[in-house]
Amino acid sequence: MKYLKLILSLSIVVAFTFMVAVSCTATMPFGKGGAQLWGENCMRCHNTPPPTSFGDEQWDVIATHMELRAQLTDQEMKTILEFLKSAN
Amino acid sequence: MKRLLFTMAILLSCWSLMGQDESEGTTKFMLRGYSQGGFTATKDDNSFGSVGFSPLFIYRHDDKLIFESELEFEYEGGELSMALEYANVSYKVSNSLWLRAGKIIVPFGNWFERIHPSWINPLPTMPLGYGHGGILPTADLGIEARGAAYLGKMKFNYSAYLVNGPQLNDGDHEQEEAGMVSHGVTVDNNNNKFVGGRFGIFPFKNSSLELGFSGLTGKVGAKDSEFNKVGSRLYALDLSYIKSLNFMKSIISVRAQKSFINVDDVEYKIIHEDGDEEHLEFDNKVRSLYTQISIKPALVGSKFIRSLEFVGRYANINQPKGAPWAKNPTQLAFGVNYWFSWRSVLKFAYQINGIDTVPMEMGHDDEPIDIHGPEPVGGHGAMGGANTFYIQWAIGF
Repeated sequence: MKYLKLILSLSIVVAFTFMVAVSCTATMPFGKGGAQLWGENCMRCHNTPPPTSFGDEQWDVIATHMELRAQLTDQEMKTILEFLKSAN
Repeated sequence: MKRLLFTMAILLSCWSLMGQDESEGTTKFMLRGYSQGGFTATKDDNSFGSVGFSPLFIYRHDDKLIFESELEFEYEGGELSMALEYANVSYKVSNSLWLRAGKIIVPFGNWFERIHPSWINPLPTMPLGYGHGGILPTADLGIEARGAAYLGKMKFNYSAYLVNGPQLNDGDHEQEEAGMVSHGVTVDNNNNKFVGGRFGIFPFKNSSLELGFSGLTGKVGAKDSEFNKVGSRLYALDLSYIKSLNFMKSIISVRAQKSFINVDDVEYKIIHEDGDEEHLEFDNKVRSLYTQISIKPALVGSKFIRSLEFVGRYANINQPKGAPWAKNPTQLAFGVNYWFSWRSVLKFAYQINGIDTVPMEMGHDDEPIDIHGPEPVGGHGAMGGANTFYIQWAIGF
């Protein structure tokens, strides 16, 4: 019985995840540029860091970290990263 | 002494690893984190408070695999305490799906995951209910699926997770806490896992408004006890609105969260010092709320004024009438911050703490206990106690 509940719980998580993954129509931020996304998303939690705060290699790490933590879409992260590197 | 040596070893290791930041290749490591310290004053006492240091390790194997961990060192009252805030590995399955395992920050509501670091939190304390020993989940052991995507033109984010979950204090050892649930206990007390999730939507195209719903449910009773069927359900509604308002030349940030904690009603047996036995049964429902607003006049010409931030917060907890630990604490805090840079700040705040004791229905003379209030200056929320003036510095790096 206890395994049944565990399996059921896991199934709910997997089913929900699968549903979300296949139902997404896009990860595009609809024409927003990197500067706009950088401003909109960073300031949701903290002050917006200047692009010169970190080097390109460091931005690679931070971008992945923030994609995960702040729940950015893949496209948002890449667009912001491109902007930060170009402004560096 | 051992702790001090361990800390020094950690720091020396970090120092040597920092040199890898500039290395070439796909493998990348970063040491980041934050630190804070400060001064507190009440009507009767004043003191330089605790100092905290929280190094954050990020190891990015490639663009699909990342490890993150945050340690917490805190020096207070002559004691150095250490904690593993979180440590987990994440794998990117698709553009809108990450899988994560380890000790994870529980995505319940909009506070802890987003703004608990002291250089982000605009006040020196956390809202009631958060922090170590709080009534709301912060971090736990388990697995999580999370991500974000667009449905049509509306962005949403999601997380679904399995964790060990909170545990019920059945009054066997700490009878004055009978009926309370504890979060973040490392060893599970049963084979049931908590299932939880959070779903957030951004109704506006500019992502200024986020509305979130969180849920978490499972069994809290120990498997070999008479409470093994006792379950708990936690829900939260959260809101955050962050917008640059040109007419005010300011950035306004509004956050709020209403949390609901329900535990199945059961009877707890309390044995008093004189040997009398008492049976407690109460409607075990806890409600908490926080609302916070901050205004940064970041668009004005004066450098001094645009470095300021004004913040206010109200929080309360309503606990069940009849519980031995029942209190209805409130927290009202005001603050003015000066930002030296985007990640270093000096905070001045005054916090008014109130507690309305909820009368016991069973009629014994025990005073309701104080549920653990996290320390104030270390970035945690103070519960109860005297009204307090804080000065806190915080820096992110």
